Amino acid sequence: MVCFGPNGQLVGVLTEPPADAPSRDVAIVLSNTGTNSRVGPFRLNVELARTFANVGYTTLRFDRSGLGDSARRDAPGDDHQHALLDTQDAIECVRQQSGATRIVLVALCSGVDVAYATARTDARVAGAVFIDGYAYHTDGYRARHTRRVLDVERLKRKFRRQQHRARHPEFFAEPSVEASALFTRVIPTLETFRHDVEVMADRGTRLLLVYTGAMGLHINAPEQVAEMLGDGAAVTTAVSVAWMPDADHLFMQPSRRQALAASVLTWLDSVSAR
Amino acid sequence: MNVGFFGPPEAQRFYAHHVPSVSLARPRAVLLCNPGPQEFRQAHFALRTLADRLAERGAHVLRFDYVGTGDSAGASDVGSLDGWADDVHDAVDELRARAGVSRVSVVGLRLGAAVAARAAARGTRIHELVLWDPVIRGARYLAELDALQERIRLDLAYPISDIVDSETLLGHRMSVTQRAELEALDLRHEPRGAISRVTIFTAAPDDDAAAMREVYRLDGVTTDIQVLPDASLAHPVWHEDTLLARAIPAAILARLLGDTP
Repeated sequence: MVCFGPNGQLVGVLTEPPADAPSRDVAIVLSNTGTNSRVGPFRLNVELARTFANVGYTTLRFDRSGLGDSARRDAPGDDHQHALLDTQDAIECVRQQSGATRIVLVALCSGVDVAYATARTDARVAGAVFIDGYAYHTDGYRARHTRRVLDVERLKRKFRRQQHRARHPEFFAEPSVEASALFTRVIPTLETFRHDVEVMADRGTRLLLVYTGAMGLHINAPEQVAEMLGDGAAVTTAVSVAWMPDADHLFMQPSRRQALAASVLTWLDSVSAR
Repeated sequence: MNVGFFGPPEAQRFYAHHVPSVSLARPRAVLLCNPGPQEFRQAHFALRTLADRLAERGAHVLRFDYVGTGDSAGASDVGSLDGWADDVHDAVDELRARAGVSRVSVVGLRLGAAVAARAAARGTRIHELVLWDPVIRGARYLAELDALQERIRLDLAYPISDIVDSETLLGHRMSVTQRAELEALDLRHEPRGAISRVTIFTAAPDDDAAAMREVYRLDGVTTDIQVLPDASLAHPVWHEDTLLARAIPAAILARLLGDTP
């Protein structure tokens, strides 16, 4: 366990590599998704941290202020600004604890907002993994989306869902307004995103954009990333895509969590080798 | 709040010890048992908030993660009710040592209630047991979670794949053996430990809870039920929601600490 930040009020777990693992100059930071604790949905962060540590990457998973076991930050600013300060503190903590000089941020869904804002400006961040982060409609998306109505499997699923809803209407509750209001998102425009990715690419920061099947209404093919960002050499080099249409948003299936870890590990090797 | 791990290296269990912010004439200690892996993430905020409130009123409170769950050691498929009951036993000892008290009350939420009751039956000394929307019949619990899992699988937001790993339940591996153990769970027919008092809080009237009270009363255990409309994991909810309960935590606070200032 590590306690760091103002008055040691941020709580995290540092997962360190075994003695016989290769030495790395890269350490990893994981944090909250929505209102989930640092453990992650379905223990995702714990499983990722242990997988990364086994091959030499020290990994810190921590609760941002006001989430999980961390206290609220007593400082001016809103939750997003506090989260940025928390992430700065986490980066410094893992650097001191591991000796690594370069950091990779791994974030899912709303957690991407903080990782993105940090990676955009912090030169210590050598790479970032944005899982179900940002995606923007393109002409290609719209053309592919039209063909979606012909997908027989989708229609079968829709029918089964209607049957299940008739049998168990109680399981189809909508999210409570109160719970939904616990956090807010700060989503950049496509123009801002494209500009920021170019800035990060020029700085040498590598990005892995992971998209699950849950993002189907935002992105429907891996080539859409090139449609969004263009095919400039710097961006093409810096941005990788992991396309996981058979995964759900929170990686409920253990096999999909393992597949995610494998994709990130492969990509991490390219960051670590630089 | 102090955080750390207790237990041997191969079975380290995460704990959070909420230190009381006021002193009571007679120190109190309360252990909180989370609902296990399937409802862990929805319940974390509620249990942390309850722990904070109890500590503000003068109680030592310990939260912890069972082996194979949360931040504790172990893969996600190693858990069993008996193993988790042993974790409760060790956590009670840990809290007793940290708080310097002999009497420990235990609050169990959902499956955590069943685990706490199992711990008492296996000899853990528990002064008072508070069961919050308890899982009383494992078969009913499994049926509810199976239906919820099917709803998530069919959600239109995931239109591309039908992959469902075998031997899993709501995101966690569950072997045939583990499932059979849960299927057989029935608190109405389990042995009772040496508990002086049991209070059951439910968010809606529950026949299983009423039946359990009668069985406990016949055994001479003072057992009460309070039905308090509240947010609840016992009712199907949007699976990504956080449990935002108020009435039942307030009643637990009153039950355990009464009118202490």
